[in-house]
Amino acid sequence: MKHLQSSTMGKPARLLTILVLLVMILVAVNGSNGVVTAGHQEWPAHGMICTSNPSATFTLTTRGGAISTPDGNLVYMWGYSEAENPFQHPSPVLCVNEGDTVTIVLNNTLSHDVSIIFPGQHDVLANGLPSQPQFDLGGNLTSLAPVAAANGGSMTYSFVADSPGTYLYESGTEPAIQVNMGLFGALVVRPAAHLDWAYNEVAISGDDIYTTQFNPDAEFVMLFSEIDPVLHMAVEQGQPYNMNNYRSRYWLINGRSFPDTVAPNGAEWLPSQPYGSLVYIHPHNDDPGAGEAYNPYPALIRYLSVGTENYPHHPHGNHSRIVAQDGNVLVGSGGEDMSYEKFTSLLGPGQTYDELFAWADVENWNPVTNPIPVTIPQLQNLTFGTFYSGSPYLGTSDALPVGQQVLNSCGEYYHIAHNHALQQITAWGIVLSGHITFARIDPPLPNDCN
Amino acid sequence: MLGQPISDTNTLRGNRVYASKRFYQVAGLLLVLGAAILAWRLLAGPAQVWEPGTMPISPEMEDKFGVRFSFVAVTAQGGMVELRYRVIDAGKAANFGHYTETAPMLISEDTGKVVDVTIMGLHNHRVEPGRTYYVLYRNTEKAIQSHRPVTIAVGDLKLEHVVAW
Repeated sequence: MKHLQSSTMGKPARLLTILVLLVMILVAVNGSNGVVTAGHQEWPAHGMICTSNPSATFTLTTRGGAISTPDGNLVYMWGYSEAENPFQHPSPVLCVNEGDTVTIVLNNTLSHDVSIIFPGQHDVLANGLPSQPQFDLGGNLTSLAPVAAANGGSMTYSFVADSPGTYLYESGTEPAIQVNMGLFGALVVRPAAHLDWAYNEVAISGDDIYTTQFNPDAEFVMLFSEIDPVLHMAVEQGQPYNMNNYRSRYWLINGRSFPDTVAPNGAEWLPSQPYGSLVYIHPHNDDPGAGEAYNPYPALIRYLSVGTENYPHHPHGNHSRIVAQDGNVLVGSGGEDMSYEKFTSLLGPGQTYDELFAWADVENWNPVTNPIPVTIPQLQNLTFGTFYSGSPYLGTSDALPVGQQVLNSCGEYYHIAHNHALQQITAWGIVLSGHITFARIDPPLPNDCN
Repeated sequence: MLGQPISDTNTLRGNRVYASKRFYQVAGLLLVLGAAILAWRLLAGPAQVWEPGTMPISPEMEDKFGVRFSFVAVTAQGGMVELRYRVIDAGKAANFGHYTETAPMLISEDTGKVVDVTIMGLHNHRVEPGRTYYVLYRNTEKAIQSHRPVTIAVGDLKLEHVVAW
């Protein structure tokens, strides 16, 4: 009888029981590893983080908060946060599709009137009426757009995003102060027909036709800004500030100064500064038979500036191809290719650039099949760079002189990218900070880098 | 079972009996194994919880080198490690990191792997009190792991149980 009863527990039930016991044992073995989950763990570590939704309707709430700088300072800032989210800097990257009617509800919790302007967008409405500059009774300009009044006011802006491109949104009220305080963000309009193109247009060059198609896994945004901490302290304390005394002390990419720039998106130690700017790519490869190494499309880097100064940004190692400026694709009326390669992009206040970037192993150097035809001197006769792996070949590490240290873990390449106005790569006088980031090129997939 | 031979029915029951015995044997073994592991864990005490960003203070290091460490973080897709410190005594900190005996190194407490001093520190010999400075290291063989304990060693002094971001 016992056997008959047990036989009523069918094979699936027995297997399930064994499985449950195994899981219990695994739990007992592992226990807690003490890992604290990150606030943004679902984000990819690198690349542009879009805030988007099907209705292209966003609620932005102004908030005050603090950011940290690598020299140990905390700077009081303002920002637009999505809905009830806490303060963040910079404000969210809003991504919409061409043709969307974009609606932005601005709720203002600050003690100053605040607005939003959308450079590059047409026929913007504010509470259903044309968004226009505002004047006081004396005829003095008070704001470039209708405001959400201080301490709880609201304003709804809307427009049709009819031109793909990279744009800013920023405060139009007391902009010299409010934009420096952090009331700005990036707006990305994607072509409706090609979400992985930067623009709709195709360019013709001889018999070749070019598009702005990019690798969606390698889309980056770099939003350049600057901070005068004395201004911020005055605002925090409710004190007056004379703009004639304005002097930038910190320079930031995506709200961070180097070396925080190369930290991942959502880095736990930067809770209010969620966006990194490490350009993380793999070598170009247009051979469909290359398996995981197949990587035919370039990275897209969207550059923007909300600073008051020119930023001559300068990625080492490779030129970038500028395909658009200020949301205008560089294609002639007859389809002429007017894009161009540039080593240093002079990013002026309020400007944006869209640039395609790829790293290609053009010569296919290989230590066995295609060695570099140079006799490499003995180790002691070489000077090594910080990022040299001991081998010139991507994905290969080799011997280094005793005591030589480099920043390289799997034969990857690092190309620094920095502002060439050298005072802008400092943090209140401390050198090698500010507008610096890196491009990291890993060996072709599959590799053992991660 | 109408029409089914008795011998077939017996064979079927025989298989069930055998399968049930095997199930009890396996389940019993697993239960004993699980109980043993649980007992071992309970006797060994609670698992060490490593809180990212934990940074103990070393009065000896502060007195000798004039710096207070503020964090260790794994960065650049795991390829680099950053050590940050605040200058407490500018005179003592002026040489910090510049010589073998003043150069900080990081040691994984899980594996004993070491990342040694690097040349990408951002300061020269003139440092200011109260300011924070950084050193970037190659994360050799992924020696330092996020959320795991690290020892900072400078000369003959050590600061243990730092937890990397």
